[in-house]
Amino acid sequence: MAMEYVPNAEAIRPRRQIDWVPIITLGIPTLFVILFFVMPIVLIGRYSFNSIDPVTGLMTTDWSFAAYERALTSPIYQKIFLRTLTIALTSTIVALLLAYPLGYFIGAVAEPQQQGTLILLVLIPFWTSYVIRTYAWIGILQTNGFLQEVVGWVPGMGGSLLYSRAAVIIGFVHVYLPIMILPIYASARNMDKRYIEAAHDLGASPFRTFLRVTLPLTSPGIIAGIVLFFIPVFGSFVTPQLLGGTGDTMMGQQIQNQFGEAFNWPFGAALSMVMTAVVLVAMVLFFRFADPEEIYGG
Amino acid sequence: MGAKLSGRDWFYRGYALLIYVFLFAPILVVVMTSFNPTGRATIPTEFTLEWYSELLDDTQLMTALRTSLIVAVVSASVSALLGLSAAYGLSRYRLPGRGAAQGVFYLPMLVPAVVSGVSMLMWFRNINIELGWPSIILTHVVVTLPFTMTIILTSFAGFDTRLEEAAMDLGATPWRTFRMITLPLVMPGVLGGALMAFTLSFDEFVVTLFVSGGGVQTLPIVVYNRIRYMLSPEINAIATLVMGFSIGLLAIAQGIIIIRRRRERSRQLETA
Repeated sequence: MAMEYVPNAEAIRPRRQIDWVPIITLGIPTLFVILFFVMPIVLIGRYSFNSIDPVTGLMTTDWSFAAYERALTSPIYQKIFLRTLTIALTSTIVALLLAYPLGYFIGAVAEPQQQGTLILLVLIPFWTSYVIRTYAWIGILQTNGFLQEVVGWVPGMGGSLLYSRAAVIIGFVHVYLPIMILPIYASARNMDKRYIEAAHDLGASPFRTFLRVTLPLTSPGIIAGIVLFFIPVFGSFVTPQLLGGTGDTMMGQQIQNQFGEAFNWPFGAALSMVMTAVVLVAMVLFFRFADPEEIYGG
Repeated sequence: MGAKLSGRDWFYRGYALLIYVFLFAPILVVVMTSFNPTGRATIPTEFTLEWYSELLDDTQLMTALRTSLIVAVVSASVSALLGLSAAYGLSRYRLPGRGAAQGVFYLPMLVPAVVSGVSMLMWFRNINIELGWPSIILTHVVVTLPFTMTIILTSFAGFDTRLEEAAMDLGATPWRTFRMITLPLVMPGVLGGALMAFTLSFDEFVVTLFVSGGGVQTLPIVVYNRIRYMLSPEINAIATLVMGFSIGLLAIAQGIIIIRRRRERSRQLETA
């Protein structure tokens, strides 16, 4: 039988009818995430409006703002919230100061053939377990640890930095530095270097060029780096738990404590919601001031 | 930039070197300590494999290693399948609610791990999902899905849909077209995503701590408990092995990326 000539393939496959393929392929994973992630968050959100019956000590399913009131007004938790913010912001600033010159070097100064290797070297530590990388600092910072025995110099603290706020900040900077370096590298690589040459040719000093040209051109990477670094640090639990002092706890540890030891679920849920809200605000600022496509595309 | 380096270049090079030392020194200290007979974080004067042989006899650590490998393989496979499905749906069709669906996939990346952990723990209790294998694997799939989906989505971004149309016009069924044309073309993305998911799952700690229920323990959980309650030098040995393994996987992932780039380049040369 001779092949029939079909003038238009669309004619035999009419597109008008409902195509079930996209609904199914997109629907299954969406349902999965809703069932095992969105619903859990909704449940915790509901718990945050529950309260604890003072007589029985059990959770009652009323609608109450008691947990939020305590989370936001109790001096102890205000202090912990401020402390978490202080530690997270200090770590972010330290990390930015370390990451910027390196990201800029890899993206804008190093030979293009070397860039891949230099970035890979940044990724290797990031690719290894953060529990192990945090653990490594215990051996370095403890009394008679690597810093004291081999380097022979420990700033203050009588031989041990472990279980101090400095240790927590060092741990954060080490664990999350690569996610600060990557976007700065990307924006340094993508910027148009002719602007810097132009500023130089027009007689601007290197410092002025940096302040007025380089910094604005790489600012999307800086903003992305700050946000991507801040989010996991603010919500962290492991690093302060392993490296920090027991009197210097962060919000993540408080949440764990409310579910693990104190068994005050509504209060733990309210703290969770407050923490998530802070992170979402940081995220909104990120999308408001930085264009992820611009940073990671190209 | 010529062969002669300016003072500024030397500053950058020196600075870069210092940061790399900061990034790698703690890892190297752990590796070094794993061969130190004293088991302490100093420069070793002697060399030993004692901690490695003790590791083999440590049934708790060995069981945890096995658990972590099984969890990582299963959850990376499921995550890659769901990620492929989602990426296919997202890249091909402009459905109403498409943006919202994509947003939902990124949620597990945004919510702090402690919050995800307590939420999933409470939910699993509520809907009677056993805390152990089922809860751990489900959690790891959810946590890794945004990463696998994003990586697979990039494979679809450079996809030439005319190849599929050609196959369909030549009479291939949609399933056959998917299997013979689509899947091979996005395979590097699927493998890359699965590798990423494997590593993330293998290292996942915080969420697992909440949902594991104590009976089934992954390696990071056992390592964490040991670190907190007793310092055992075997930890350095297992840490060294795990880091070597992770870096090996990174090398494989890089290999896949390089192959994909080469393939793309040769394809571009052909069409040019």
